[in-house]
Amino acid sequence: MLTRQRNTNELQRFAPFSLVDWDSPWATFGSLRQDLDRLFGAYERSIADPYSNGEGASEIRDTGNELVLAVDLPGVSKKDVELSISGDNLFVRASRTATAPEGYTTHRRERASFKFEHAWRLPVQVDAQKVEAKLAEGVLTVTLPKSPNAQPKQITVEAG
Amino acid sequence: MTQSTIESARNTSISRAPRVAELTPAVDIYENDKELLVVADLPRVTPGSLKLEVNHPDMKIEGRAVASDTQPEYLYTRTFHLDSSVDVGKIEAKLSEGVLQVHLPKREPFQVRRIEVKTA
Repeated sequence: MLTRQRNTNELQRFAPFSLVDWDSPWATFGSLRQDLDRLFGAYERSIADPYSNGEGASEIRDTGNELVLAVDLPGVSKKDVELSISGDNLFVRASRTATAPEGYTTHRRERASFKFEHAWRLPVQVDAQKVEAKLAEGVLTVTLPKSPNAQPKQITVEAG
Repeated sequence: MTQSTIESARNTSISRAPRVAELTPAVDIYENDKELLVVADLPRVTPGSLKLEVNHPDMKIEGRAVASDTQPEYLYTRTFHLDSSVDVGKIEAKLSEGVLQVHLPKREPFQVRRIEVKTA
């Protein structure tokens, strides 16, 4: 589940001449189109958002003795991440607010604020006391050691 | 077709590098009197997998998001065109929390100077 918020009221202004964005030379036409859409009361913004904040991509890995969850959360600081376990459910809640740095004028604003909320049903029992989480390179990594009876065991097959 | 041709054809298809998904990172551009500031979202990119190249007048950001078992490798790329107001030698960049900040100082004549008006 992913909620993205974008301030559509803020008109995307022209990029300064010193920074022409070659990957989206039509961006200015995009904003012109937005104006027209508004003018004619068009409800839909039909140009899909092509830029990636890259948030929310996640995976759970089973390394044998533990489960490792990784979620991409660029620009999210530690205090804005909430992590909880109840039974075999793991919840992650994170958010960031996109704000312009003080004293700067804004020429382009693509990095949106977002709220990320997701619940995972864990496939095995984990030891909730030993769960560790860290945030680095914009990635939240949660290490969940399996509880002793969920650890892999080698069973020797004996000849009868 | 000779044996060697078949062999080389097969090698080509096998050795072809896996296609890397290219993404355009979301970017903010800000400006104040002294500099331009480019901010880009690059999750999973480390200082070691990030390349920032200035080949005047182009500035290219290229960040490789490292693959894991289930996540594909991504390549975040974006190129900007710098004009002569940017002091290329003084560009500074820093990567933290998956967000890249590139500071592009303006050269002296292009910096805004505020002049105090005195009363006579």
